[in-house]
Amino acid sequence: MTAPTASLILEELWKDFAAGGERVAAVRGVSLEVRPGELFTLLGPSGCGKTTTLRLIAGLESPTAGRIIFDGQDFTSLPPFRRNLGMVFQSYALYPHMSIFENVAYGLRARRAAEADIRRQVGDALEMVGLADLMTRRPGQLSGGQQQRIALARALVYGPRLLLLDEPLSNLDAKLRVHMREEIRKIQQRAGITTVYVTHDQEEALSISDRLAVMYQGRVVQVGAPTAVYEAPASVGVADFLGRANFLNAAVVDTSGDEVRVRLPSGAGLSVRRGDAAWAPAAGEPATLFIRPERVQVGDGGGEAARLEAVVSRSTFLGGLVRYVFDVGMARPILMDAQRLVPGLEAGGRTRLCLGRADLLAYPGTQRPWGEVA
Amino acid sequence: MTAGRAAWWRRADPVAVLVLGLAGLILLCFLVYPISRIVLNSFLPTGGPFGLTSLTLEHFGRFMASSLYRKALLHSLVVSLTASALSLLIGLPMAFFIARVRMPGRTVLLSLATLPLVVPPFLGAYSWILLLGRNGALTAFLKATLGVELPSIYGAPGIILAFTLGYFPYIVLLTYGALSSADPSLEESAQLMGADRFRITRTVTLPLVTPAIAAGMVIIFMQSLGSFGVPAVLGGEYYVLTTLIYFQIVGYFDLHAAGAIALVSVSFTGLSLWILHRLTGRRGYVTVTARTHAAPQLEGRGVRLVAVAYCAVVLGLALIPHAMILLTSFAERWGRGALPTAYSLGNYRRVFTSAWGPMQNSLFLATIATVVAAVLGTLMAYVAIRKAVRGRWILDLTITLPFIFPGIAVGVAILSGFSSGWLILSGTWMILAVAYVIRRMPYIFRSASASLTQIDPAMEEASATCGASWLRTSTRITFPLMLPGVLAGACITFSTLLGELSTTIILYSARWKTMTVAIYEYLLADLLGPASALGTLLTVAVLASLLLANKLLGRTLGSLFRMV
Repeated sequence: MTAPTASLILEELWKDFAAGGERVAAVRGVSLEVRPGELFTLLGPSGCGKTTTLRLIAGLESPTAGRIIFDGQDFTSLPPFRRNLGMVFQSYALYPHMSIFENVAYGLRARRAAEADIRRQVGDALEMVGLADLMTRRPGQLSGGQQQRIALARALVYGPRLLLLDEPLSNLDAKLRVHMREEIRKIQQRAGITTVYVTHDQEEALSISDRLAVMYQGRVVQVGAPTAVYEAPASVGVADFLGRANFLNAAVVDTSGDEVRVRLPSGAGLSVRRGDAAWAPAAGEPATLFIRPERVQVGDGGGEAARLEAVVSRSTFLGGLVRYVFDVGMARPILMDAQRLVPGLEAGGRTRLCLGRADLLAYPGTQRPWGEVA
Repeated sequence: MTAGRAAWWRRADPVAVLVLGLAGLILLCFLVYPISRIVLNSFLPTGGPFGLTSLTLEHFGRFMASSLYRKALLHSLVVSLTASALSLLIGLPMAFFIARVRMPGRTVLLSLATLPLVVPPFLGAYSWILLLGRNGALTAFLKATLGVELPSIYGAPGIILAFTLGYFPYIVLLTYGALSSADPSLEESAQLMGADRFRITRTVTLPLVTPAIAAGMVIIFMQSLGSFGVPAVLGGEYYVLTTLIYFQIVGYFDLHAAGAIALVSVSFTGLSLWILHRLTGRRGYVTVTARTHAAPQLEGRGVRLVAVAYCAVVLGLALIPHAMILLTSFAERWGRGALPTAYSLGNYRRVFTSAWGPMQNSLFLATIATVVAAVLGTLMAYVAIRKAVRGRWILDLTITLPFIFPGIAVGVAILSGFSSGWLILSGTWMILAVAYVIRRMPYIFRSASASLTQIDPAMEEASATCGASWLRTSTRITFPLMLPGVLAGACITFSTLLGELSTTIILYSARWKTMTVAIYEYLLADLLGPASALGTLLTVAVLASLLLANKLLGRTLGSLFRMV
């Protein structure tokens, strides 16, 4: 079932749709390289163009401009059935008029495989997803999770060289979602197949991907390994979309190397790394500082840091962690994620917060989280 | 992100182009061409030269000049409008009762209500003569017991009676459908906001079912306007548009005059559809939410009694004619009373020898036309829904064009197209088959389109990504998934074609006489027994095909009919 893996290259892909007499670009110049055998995720809020990009790769849509190259072969004008790829749809798209066996065998029959081979390969594929005993059932008799696995088996059985997954877990409940994404990851690695995965769920993307691309308004905003993108988002938008984020207003004093010296509203000065590499800050320009809630500390801490006087607004118990909300006299509150209740922090109580220099990133003050733009 | 789905189809696939091109050619030859001929003919003088310079309005002028024409038009409108209004009057309460009053045997009631729709209406019409005619059973009974002299059944009263009792189930089924699929929480929320029952009915319930009622009335108006059998049996000297067309064809073989009358008739059906569209088309009435719970049912003793009594009386009236036919078919001798004095199978023996040919013809023609209409209609639906994005409305309009043509007008169009010119089919079985296909394809097209729009496009996309070509995807995935809808449409098509008279009466020949024509001839010759026996056989065949559809699809008769 394993085929030699290959890389996928998207070159300046554009896709326009006609919408009420107007042409709207859903994908605006997307260029990416997916490496052989990696699980690459397209992540972004709904309407960002990630599904359209996946459908372009599948050949279900044809691009307005740009090229798709897979393993050195130009895919751009190839119909989907000649691309030798496997795809799992959000709705699974299992055929209600066929048994599970026939569903999985579908791609092999399309390839005119011999009956004995079909029997063996379908058996192997169902074994792989752990559902070999359900062969004679109909899709309607299966649970959501089982249908999901069958859809995966159907997409992999004929040994495609590229696997496409379009929000495959969005119809499952929360617990099963976590289980299935581990399952998908395991199967993908065993098959060693180059995979493009689309989701709007940042936790899913972070946990499953080798690398991911964050998309927004039809463009790729940042590409990188999950940890890299999470730790060093390229913009305030990415920072806010990927997990929880705190933002503080500051003013640029001067720059040196990849660091920028800013002044906080309290008057204190601090040198912070630049989050946006393209940013050339000028003195006096407004800046936005960013820090993850789990990096916020209570107390004075050591080393160079932004220190803020704070009043506890409220705390929320979230099971694995406790989320504190502080009022620091700025437009936005500061969130802190602690692993357990911090003794002495009661609503209304005063404290000091310490935002370590190494945990802070600076962005242009003009950038806004995506949710606030609209 | 779902806009512009399935772009890869639009790239030319040789198989697709071939199949669809062929279907388009058939449509052009056998639908567009004859309809163009009938339109053109009606503006050309009878027997005159073929050319644009000789265009004339003389055939339409007769609606001014001739009192026969004027009266026929007036009669048609009067009986059709009256029948629609009366159907609403008796059908609406029944729909409400079945939907909203706790009653036993609701499914049975709905199936019985469907019966008048599936039995050829002119059969029922004739039985009203048996009951209420000059020597009718009921006439004699009323005269003997009460001394009441009934007005003549011939003319407007009889036609309106037959139309109303034959077509009111459209109101019942459509309104019941709307009532039972409306989300009950709409009414419940009105109740919570403090509206009383009367206000809820007026402001919530009635507006919800208005589109269904309007659609039902338009269907009844169109069916009545296009019916040939009923006015032919009950009209006597009372001409309507359809009998006038028949008169022009059989009397003078004047295709031009007949075409003009047909066009006038078409313009009225078109007008009624346009009004329907204006009334309901733009308002997004359909309640899309899945029903979470059943609508509240009235359980009061009095209400239930009234409801059951009402439904029983109305259905009884509607089914009397059919019972009468059944009875007559077994009658050997009639005395002076309302009922036969001796029974036998003589009538059946007789029709099996003398009408054996027509029976075979009916089965053959209905089968072949159903198969062809199903294949073509499905292909067209596929193109309309999944392929063409631009110009889709042209296809839609072309295929549904015969829908606004009364059956007899389709007959005239086909006769105009294929009794002279490049392809002569008159006198063959093919002319009937072509007409049947053209007439019924809109129905299959619509049920196939409906089932196709319910198939997730991802099913077909998944097939393509699995490596299946267009041909494999359509034959293994798309068409099998469409099959239930298409089969339902096909079964109904088959059963209506068995009972078809208005188109057949224009196109049949001595060799290709159908069961309905044979019944009509029996009636003209006053051979009631054989007519009833053949009519009963026809009804049995129609019901059998519908029950088969039921069994195949696991749906009730009523819901089967609502789909079309």
